[in-house]
Amino acid sequence: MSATAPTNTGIPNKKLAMWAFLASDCMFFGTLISTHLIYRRVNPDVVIDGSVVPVTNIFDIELTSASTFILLMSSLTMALAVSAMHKHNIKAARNFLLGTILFGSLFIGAQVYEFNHFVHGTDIAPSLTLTNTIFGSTFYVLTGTHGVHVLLGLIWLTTWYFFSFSKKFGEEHVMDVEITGLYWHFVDIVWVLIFPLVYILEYI
Amino acid sequence: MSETTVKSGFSPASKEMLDGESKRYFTFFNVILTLIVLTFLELILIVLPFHHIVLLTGLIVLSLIKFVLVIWYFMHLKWDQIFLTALFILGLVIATGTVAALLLLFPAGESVMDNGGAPAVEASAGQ
Repeated sequence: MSATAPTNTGIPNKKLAMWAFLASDCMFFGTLISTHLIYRRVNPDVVIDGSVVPVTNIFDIELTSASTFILLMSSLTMALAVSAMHKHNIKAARNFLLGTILFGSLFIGAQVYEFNHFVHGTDIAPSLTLTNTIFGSTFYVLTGTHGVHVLLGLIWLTTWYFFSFSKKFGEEHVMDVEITGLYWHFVDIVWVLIFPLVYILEYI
Repeated sequence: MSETTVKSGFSPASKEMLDGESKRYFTFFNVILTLIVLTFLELILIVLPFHHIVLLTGLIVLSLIKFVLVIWYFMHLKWDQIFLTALFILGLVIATGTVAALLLLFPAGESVMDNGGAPAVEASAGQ
């Protein structure tokens, strides 16, 4: 017997709903990314405390690159977790879920560290806050919204990790974990676009 | 003994499912290796002495390849119903149209904000 009810489309309703949500989230991030790019183009100078500050002085490309690799690795462990769930290998799925949670936590930790440095400033870059420049506003809103998505994904994954120890955890939850995986991969592909368009673009 | 056979609520997976997932296992590793190489290439673009239009085009192409690899393999679109691909592409088309429209509505240099004659801070070495 199938763990999910048959539907007219042949696609489980939960999965269809998640893909519809992800399609709509594309539009959401599309507007945030374009807002940032437009303001960068229209106002190329970032003026803080009366001085024009090169954005490359503010950014720490080494840290952001490391975060990108971490998020990519979390996508691999998530894909392996879903694969293990399909094979009903719960122990392996649980371990891969834990790996995804660890990588995701590292990414969030790096983002908090990065934001903290930006806000407090360094020897070569003054403080960048949400309100002192247009660049700060669009940058924090875009990357912060992505960070909130990652955080929600982490909470969702952690819930599955602990629930997988429960006796109530059964075959009907294979699809649910797969849907969580779709959300997690989406968070990854959004970063795949944010990293070059917001960070690397400033260096070329 | 595998937990597959002892976890309550789970029956052993079918042979077809096990075979299919075993093949995907290696595909996932190939995909992640490709993604890592493409990310390195993106970073290398920073130091290449080409015109910025060439570099920008390269950056966008690399990002799109990474994007497609993740949705096609990690998000299982390759193996799922075509309807899901169509649904996601519909969202992507609307999002891309929105981005393109906004970028065209606000061309570069149209309303450069006055920086009040602020002096520029020199970019630090090595960044």
